[in-house]
Amino acid sequence: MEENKKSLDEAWREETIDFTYPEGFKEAAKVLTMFPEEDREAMLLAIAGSILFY
Amino acid sequence: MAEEKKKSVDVGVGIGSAEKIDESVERELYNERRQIFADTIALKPAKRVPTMSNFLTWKAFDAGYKLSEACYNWDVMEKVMRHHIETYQFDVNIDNGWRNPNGMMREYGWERHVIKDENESVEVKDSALMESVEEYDEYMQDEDKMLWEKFLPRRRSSCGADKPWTKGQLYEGTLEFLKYREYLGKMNSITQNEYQIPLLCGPVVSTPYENIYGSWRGIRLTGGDLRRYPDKVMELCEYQWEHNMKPVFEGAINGDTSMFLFDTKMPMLGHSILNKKQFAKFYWPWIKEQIDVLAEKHKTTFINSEADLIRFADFLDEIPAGVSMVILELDDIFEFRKRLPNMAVAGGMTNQMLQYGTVQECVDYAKKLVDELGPGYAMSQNKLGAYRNDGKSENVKAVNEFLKDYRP
Repeated sequence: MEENKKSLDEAWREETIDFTYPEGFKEAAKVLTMFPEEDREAMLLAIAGSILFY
Repeated sequence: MAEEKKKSVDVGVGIGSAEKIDESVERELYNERRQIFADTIALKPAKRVPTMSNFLTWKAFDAGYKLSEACYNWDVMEKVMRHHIETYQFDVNIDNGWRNPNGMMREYGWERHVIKDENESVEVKDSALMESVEEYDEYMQDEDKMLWEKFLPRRRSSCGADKPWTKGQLYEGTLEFLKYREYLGKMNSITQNEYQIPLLCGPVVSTPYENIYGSWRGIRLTGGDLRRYPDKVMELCEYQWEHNMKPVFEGAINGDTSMFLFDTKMPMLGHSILNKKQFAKFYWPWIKEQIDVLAEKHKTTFINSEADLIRFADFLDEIPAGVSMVILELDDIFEFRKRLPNMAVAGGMTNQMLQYGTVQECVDYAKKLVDELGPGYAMSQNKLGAYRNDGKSENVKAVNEFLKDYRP
């Protein structure tokens, strides 16, 4: 039971990111749970702009 | 959204995330280093000639690591930096180990800078992010949409990411992004507080044309755009300056940049394909605007010039003394100094000399640089040290030891 729950929890990891704006972008930003909810979209924009160059 | 992004996020990685200095630490050497740079920027005689490390991945080889060992592990990169600082004791480092965060990009799912341990090099996979001049308008209409829908997918694709991006990759990559920022803060703190080395410069603010040349259109397409669509290029330059670059510049000018030797950094590369007429139109106005404000506010900028710059000396004449230091790559530094005595200069020590010269030849050449260039000169290497053969350890060490005691 525990293992089933864990695999369900982890299933989101394999979901594909949608490169449409703003719908797909907003959905992707929800992944960034390490940031406060109100900062997630701004962080994703900043990160996306930054990682273009690394 | 763009305004919100600028307010809440600082991703000025590498140089923008400074830690405050620890006031309880003895700061004699730190203050000396700041003073000799201040005097040099002001073109005044300094207590001694400042030294500036322009070494990048050379540092990893020199510390006994493979590129892959250093660029995927921040603990190893910290050891690389400590080895470099303790062995050579440069007064400032252009790179604090932040240039190749490959571990972060591996988690995100693609790597633009590909480490090649077999030939000890970093291969850069490059491509134009804007595919047609029509996309200039698209960008100006909604740059966030452009970034998400076009720039990011194109970058992934050009780096060989052929599978869809997953939420797991975004999540894990962002955890590494946070580790990257943590490393930057830690290393900035270590250099200032443990080793009494000041940080080089505040935010990077160049010219909008550099974005077009270096990021969006690349060398070949930018050259065509300048000839066929000059008005469009100008329109995009003006947009980019007003919406994205000017706010960063004003932030640096009005904010606290006291922990840096220079308030801003101005990289220059795209000028290499411009003639004087194009430089006057597409490049110089934004340098002039910044320089005028910097001079008025008694601030300074560090100009990192790739390729040759002296072709544009007639423009650079207008830079007031005491505002800038330029590190030169391909220019003859002696000729540059003579032609443009208004700018402090750095560089001059060639990587060929450091690799193939004897200790005595390197020291003699360092003496010649100092004696002939006079006040307003900081010793550095003329090219970014990226390869194992960009300098022998004993030569780099001998030059720095000589300069500690040499008084011209």
